Formats: sequence, C-alpha cells, structure tokens
Amino acid sequence: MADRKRITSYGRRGRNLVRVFAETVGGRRYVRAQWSEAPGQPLVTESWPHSAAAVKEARAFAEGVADRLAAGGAPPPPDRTVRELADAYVLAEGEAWAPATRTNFRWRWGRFEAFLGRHTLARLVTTATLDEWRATMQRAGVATNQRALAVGIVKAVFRFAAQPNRKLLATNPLADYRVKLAKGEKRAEVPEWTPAEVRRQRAQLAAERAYRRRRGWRLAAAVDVAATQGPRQGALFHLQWADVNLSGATVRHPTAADVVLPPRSVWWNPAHDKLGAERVQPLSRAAVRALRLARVWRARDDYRGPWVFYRPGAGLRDAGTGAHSARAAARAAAKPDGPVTYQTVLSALQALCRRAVDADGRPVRWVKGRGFHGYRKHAAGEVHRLTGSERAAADWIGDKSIGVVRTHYLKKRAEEQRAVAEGLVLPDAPAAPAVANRNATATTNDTRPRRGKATGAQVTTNHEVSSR
Amino acid sequence: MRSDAAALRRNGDARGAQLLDDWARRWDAATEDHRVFVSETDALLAGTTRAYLARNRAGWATRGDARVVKRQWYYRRSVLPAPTPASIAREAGRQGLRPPAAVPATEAA
Repeated sequence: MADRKRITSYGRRGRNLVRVFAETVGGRRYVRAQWSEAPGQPLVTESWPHSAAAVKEARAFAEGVADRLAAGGAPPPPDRTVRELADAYVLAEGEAWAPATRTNFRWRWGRFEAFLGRHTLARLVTTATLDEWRATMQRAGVATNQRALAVGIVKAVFRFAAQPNRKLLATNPLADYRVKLAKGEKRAEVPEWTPAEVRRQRAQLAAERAYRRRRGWRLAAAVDVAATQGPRQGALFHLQWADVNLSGATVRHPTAADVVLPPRSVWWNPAHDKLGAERVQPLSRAAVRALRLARVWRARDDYRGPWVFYRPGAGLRDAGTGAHSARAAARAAAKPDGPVTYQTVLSALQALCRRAVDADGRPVRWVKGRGFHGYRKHAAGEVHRLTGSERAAADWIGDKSIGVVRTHYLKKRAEEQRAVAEGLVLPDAPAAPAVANRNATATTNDTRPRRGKATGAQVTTNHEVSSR
Repeated sequence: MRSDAAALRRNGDARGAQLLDDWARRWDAATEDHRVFVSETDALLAGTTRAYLARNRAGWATRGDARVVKRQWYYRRSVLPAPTPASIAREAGRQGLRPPAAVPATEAA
C-alpha cells in the first residue's frame, strides 16, 4: 500500500477541493496534486519527483486549479511557448536589427528563458512572473539597468504577440506592467567625460609628449578624435586611411564609388556602424591634427595596412631596413594586421586617468562603462553648448533620435550650472538692506525704490512692522 | 547536416533537403540543453544557489559539464535543476494546463 502524507489542500469539499500530498510508490517518493474537474468525475492527478522545489510548485499549481474550479472554467487548449514567441518576434522584426542588437536581444531573452524554461507556455506568463523574475535577478546580482532592459525586451515581445494581426496571444498580460524601482535603488547613469576631465587628460598627454612616443600616440589621437567627432568606439577603431580626407580638395572615396569626401572630412563606414548608417562628417581642427600625427607614425612605422589605429607591432619595418631588430621584425610578421583592440586602448585610458592627477593629487575618476563612449557624450555636450540645439548635437554624433540624445547623451554639467547660478541676478535688487533694526520706524524721506510696490505703500508697511 | 541539405537542394532534391533540414532542426532543439553552457548568473536565475553550484562544480568540471571562460564559470544547462517559478505553476493550475515540471502520468502511477 502506498504511504501517503497530506501536505495541504485548497478549496472546499464537493466544490473545488484540491489536495496536495506526498506519496511513496514502489520505493519512489512523489509529491502529488489531486482534484476532480466536477462532482462525480474521476480524480485528476499531477505528480512530481519529491523535492522542496516540487512541493513549492505543487502548492502553487494546486492553488491555481482551485481558483479555476471556483470560477467554473474549462481547460483551454495549449498554445505557444515563450521560445516560439521570441522566434516569431525575431523573424518579423530582426531583419532590420544591427548584429549588436540581435546579440543583446538573445542575451536578455536568454535570462528570461533561464528563469522560466523555454518550453513554458506564453499564456502562463503574468505580471506576477515578471515580479518574481525581477526579484530573482536582483538576488543574482544583475545590475538595475540590465534588469529594466530585460523586462523591456519581454514586454516588447508580448506586445508584438498580442497584436491583432499576429494572433499569437489572445491578450497581452503585461500591457500595464511598469517597472518600479525599490526605494533607494537607482538606475546607474554612466556620465560623460566632463570638459574639465578631458582638459586634464589632454594636459597629461601633452606633458608626457604622448604623440612622440610609439606606445602613446594611439591613445592621444584616439582621445582627440573621439572627444571632438564623437564616433562610436567600433567606428573609431575601424577607421581606415581611405575614409579620411585631410587635404584641402574634394576627393572621391577609392573603394566606395558614390562617396565624396569634402576637404578635411571623414566617412564613417556603415560596415562598422552600430546601426549600419553611413555619414560624412567634417573634421575638427583637433581631429585633423591628431590624424596628421597618426599619419606621421604610419610613415615612420612603414605601415602598409589600411587602419588608422593599427595594432601595435603590426607592420613594423622588417630587418632589411635596419630600423628594428630581427626579433622585432619576426614578432611583427607573426602578428596579423588589424585595428588596435578596444581593450588595449581602454587599459591605456584607465592608466592615463590614474596618472592625470590634479593639484590635490586626485586622479581622474574612472567609471566603469564610460570609456570611449563617454567622449561621444562629451562631443554631443560640446556641440549643444556651442549651438544650444539638441538637433545639432544629434546630427553631429550621427544619432537620429533627439530624444535618445537628450536622455542619454546630454548630461548636466557642473560648469554650466555654475554659470547659470552666477547669471541669475534679481532685477532691480537693492544694494544692501537699509533697515537692520525691525523696531526702527521708517522715515518719510526714505525714497529708495522698492521692488513690486510703490514707495508710499512700502513706507506704510514699515510703519506696520514697527507697530507690531 | 545543413550543408548536406544545401547540397541536395542545389542538385534539385528539394524533398531530401527538406527532410535533412527538419532532422537538423529537431536535433538542434533536442540537444540544446546539452550543448548550451550558461553563465553563473543565468544558473542562479534558473533557480540554483551559489552554494549548490560551488558544491557540485568540481564534479561537473571533471565530467566536462562546467568550465571556465575568462575567469567566469559556465555550466552545462542540462546539469542544472530547473524548478518552475511559483507564478507559472499557479497560472497553469488556473488555466487547466499541466504543470511544466510534472512527470508523465504513466511514470508516476
């Protein structure tokens, strides 16, 4: 005979009773939920191999069954799984995505699937599921921003699935779901490199004569180009000499036939743009200077490859020219040509921040995630400061959305706030308060102008004050 | 297998190519849990705890079910327990569906 032990029950006998119990059959222990769909109907049983998690699941399941029986609902047919929804979403929307967008989507959706399993039916997902998921992500140490982005992805997929012309879901259970952060919890806002910080970094690079050093010119040039032109890091480090026109004449791009480069301009190749957009941008004076110095290094290294920021050691002169040792030549030959890696330049930038100390010996603060994207924000902020136009800032950095630029790129600057504070002067403010003693009576020959009221009225007020 | 299907399709055997493609897709789906390695964070999202992972790590690593990539541990998805979230189980009960992690009725009878 089976050994049975009651765990709990939901509902009422004869109506919607659902029992949860543990049972040992043939030496194996199970946790079971048992109920009847209607009085007189045979019992329905669901079983799990016994474990703490299974007991928890069985309890929740039984509670749900009891709710359904109380409401008199019939079992509906099954429908799509969460994986099928995601696949349908990618099929419909993913064609226009950049590779990075696709990767990010898969990564964030993967966290959702990791939580509830890819075979889970989409119709079982509720707002409670998202609450539970967010709490689990928080416990697992997922950053606040990442949690919000992951929830956004899930909401987008469910919104897509519930569209009337898709009919993948009858209704969208997450339509009204809002992410509310706990008290004290804040989304991390990655700051820009402020003008003061850029000034200190460039001063440090100048003091170290970075442009004259084989190991320093890349960082110096990259900072100057990034801080003024504001490209994305992928585009910056994949910049090729063919994409740059440093001359005073208009030239045609050697490989992209329909691209015309005006004097002192750069073409950002769509192959290395996050959104695959191409644009021609005039070069700032600082960028022209940086690129000219990079060209000097290219000649000095006798580099024949296409990259502006080529990999250190790649393309060094061979032993035959006598400039370097045979060992260096062998090392260079072993190193494949390519642009410098982002990690290399980022490490150099981090080291620069440590060296760029102020008068008090404090280094430039290193914020994780700022890196070269911080210069993109800096460039947008500078354009906004110069023009006062968000449109101009968005156009300069090549972002189509003013809203995105306003929210994520244009940062509040302490210097500008200080300037505003100093510019805020009250109109017609008196030079200094004349009446220090509240008990003193005002005299009729006090004819200094009073703000907002006639002189006579002010005298009356002063009389009132003195009479209290 | 997919390249074989492509070759068949190029040579005009569309039906054979379709069969191979279907087979490849089913193989892909059936073995996904065994092929995919998940990060420690994703393993925690799946319902495990750090203590459980630490306890089993050495054994899994010996069998090739756990590995280190760039100082991060990754675990084969098939070795991780996958408890169903309570909200999903509750909703399955409400909607009259089978709970995701339940064993087949014939197995537990």
